[in-house]
Order: sequence, then structure tokens, then C-alpha cells
Amino acid sequence: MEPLRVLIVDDEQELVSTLVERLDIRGIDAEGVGNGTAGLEKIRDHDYDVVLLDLKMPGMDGLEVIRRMHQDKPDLKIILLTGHCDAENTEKGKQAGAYDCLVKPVGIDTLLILIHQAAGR
Amino acid sequence: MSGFVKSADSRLLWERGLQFLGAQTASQSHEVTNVLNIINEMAGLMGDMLYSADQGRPLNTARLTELTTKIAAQIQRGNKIVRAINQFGHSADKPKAVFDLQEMIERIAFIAQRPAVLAKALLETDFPDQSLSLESSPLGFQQAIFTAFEIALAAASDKRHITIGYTLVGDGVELTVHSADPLGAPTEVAEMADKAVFLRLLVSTLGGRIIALGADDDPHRIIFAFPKRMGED
Repeated sequence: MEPLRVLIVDDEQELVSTLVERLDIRGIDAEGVGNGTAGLEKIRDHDYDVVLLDLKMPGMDGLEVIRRMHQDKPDLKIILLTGHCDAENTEKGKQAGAYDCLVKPVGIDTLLILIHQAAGR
Repeated sequence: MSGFVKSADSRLLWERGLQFLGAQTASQSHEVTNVLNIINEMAGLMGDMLYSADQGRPLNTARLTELTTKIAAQIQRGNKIVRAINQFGHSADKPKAVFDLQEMIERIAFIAQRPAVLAKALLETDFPDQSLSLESSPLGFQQAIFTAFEIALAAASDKRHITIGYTLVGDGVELTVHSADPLGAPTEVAEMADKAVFLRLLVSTLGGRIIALGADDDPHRIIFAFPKRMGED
């Protein structure tokens, strides 16, 4: 079976590179970018099973990124991975089309379960 | 009637002061969370590597050393943020105190870095060689600088500079927030119009005066003048 493909979009570069490495160790083909515009370019050129997306980033915020990603790939599963996951943001995220919202810091096992759930395998 | 207006102004200043204190504290605590998130993932990765070594795979000691160095750097980053929050929080202790203006501007510029980054603007400071002590309301002073910064930020486009600085003028000081992009008239946007009105009230309450507020005054600058001691002309 093909490994799951995950894209991480977060402006904290050290967080992205470390999380990519941790997911790779677990057999997930992960990549990371630092802003929404770069994320949109990535999903146009590649197929991902799941996107892990920060809410507050320079330029386009996470909610706008969700809307634009879904214009290109309506079935793409996007998990908000953010420090801002209060009830209001969760609701806004889900209205925008997010699969779910996780508050950072999140345990790697919790994250893996949700990635697999979102990807349906 | 004037007593009522004064009371309404005092209430507005108090409410906005509280909002400012709360918003900046929340924003900086979020920055601390970012640091903790990174440390959490790096510690997790180190755990992953040690687990792999226990399973008989070779341990990448160079990568482990790199991770410990990066964790130390993140702790330094977190410590700097916590120190800034602490000093900022204490600025509300007294309605009037003596403070170093350069230190205060550096602190407010540090706090303003995140909103500047989110708006993709570049924030910098510009000081004369000579330092200056002022006696005023530390919280009010920071709020005035930050409000001027917010007005400038609303006009800033990608990778454009906003500079906060001051010059000594006579027996006082002129604070300047310079925007590489023209500020336009704050009255054109309701939120900015509100900030401009509030800034005038705040600066006046601190014993200062607005010299320029973008648009026709000076398209690229917000300038306000203060005496070295609040209450002196």
C-alpha cells in the first residue's frame, strides 16, 4: 500500500521540519511549507491525503487557505493544527470545511489516529 | 456636562487600557505556546531516535546534538518573550513612573513583531545615540506607540518598512512612527478612524500633542510630542 501523503502548513519552520521527520519515521510521506500561498501551490501540483494547517500565518490565514484549497481539491482532508482551537475557531474552521481541529502541542499518537481517520485508512 | 465628558473619557481610557493589556498578554502567551510546541516536537523526535536505537538501529548522535542546541535556542527565545510579558505586565503597576524611552520602544517593537510578521510588514526601530528617561504613564505611553503602529500597519503592504523612533526636541521628545507606504487618511476606514480619535485622546491625556497623523499632515508619519515629565509643558 502507498504511504499516506501529508502536507504541513505552518510558519514555525522548526516545528514543520521536526514534525515532518517524526511522521516520516512512522512511514508517512510528509512535506512542509511555511505559508498558505506555498501550501496552495503544493496541493495544485501534488496529491495529498491530509493537510495539517496552522490558523494564524503571515499573509493568508488558515480559514482562507481551507477555502482556496477546497476550490482546487474539494475532497482534500484538512486538519487545523493550532494553538487557537477554541470553540469559536473550531466552529469557523468546520464551517470553512476543516475535517477537525487539534490544539498544539498534540501527542504524536493522537495526531496519527486523526490523520488515518481523515484519510480513511 | 464637561464632568460627564471627562468621566466618559476616563472610562474609555480605562477600558481601552485593559483591552490593550489583555490583548498583548494573550498574544505573547501564544508566542510562548509556539516555543513549547517546538520543544515538544523536538523532545518527541529525540525520544523516537532513542527508541530506534533500542531496536538496534544506529543512533545519529550529530542529529541529537543538533536537537539539543535547537531546544536551548528555543528556551532562550521563550525566556525573552516571558521577560517582555513580565515587564509589560508591570507597566500597569503605577499610573506614573520614570522609564527609559529606548527600552520601552524596544519592548513595544518586540511585542509588535508578531502582528507585523502576520501582515508581512518589516518593523524596525531607530534611536539617537543618547538615551532618555521620561516620567509618564508607562502603560499609556506604550499604548500610544502601539496604536500608532496599528494605524501604520493597516496601510503597510508586503515587505514594507515601519520604523518606530524618537528624537530629542528642546525639553521634550518627538516620537515618530514612519511608514514606507503612505498612511492615507485614517478617517477612510472606520476602525482606523476610531484608533486615530483614541490616539488623540490618549496623547492629550499623557500631556502630549499630535504633530502629524498621516494624510495631509505628513503622508508617511505619525508624530507626537511629549514633555520629559507628564504634567509639564
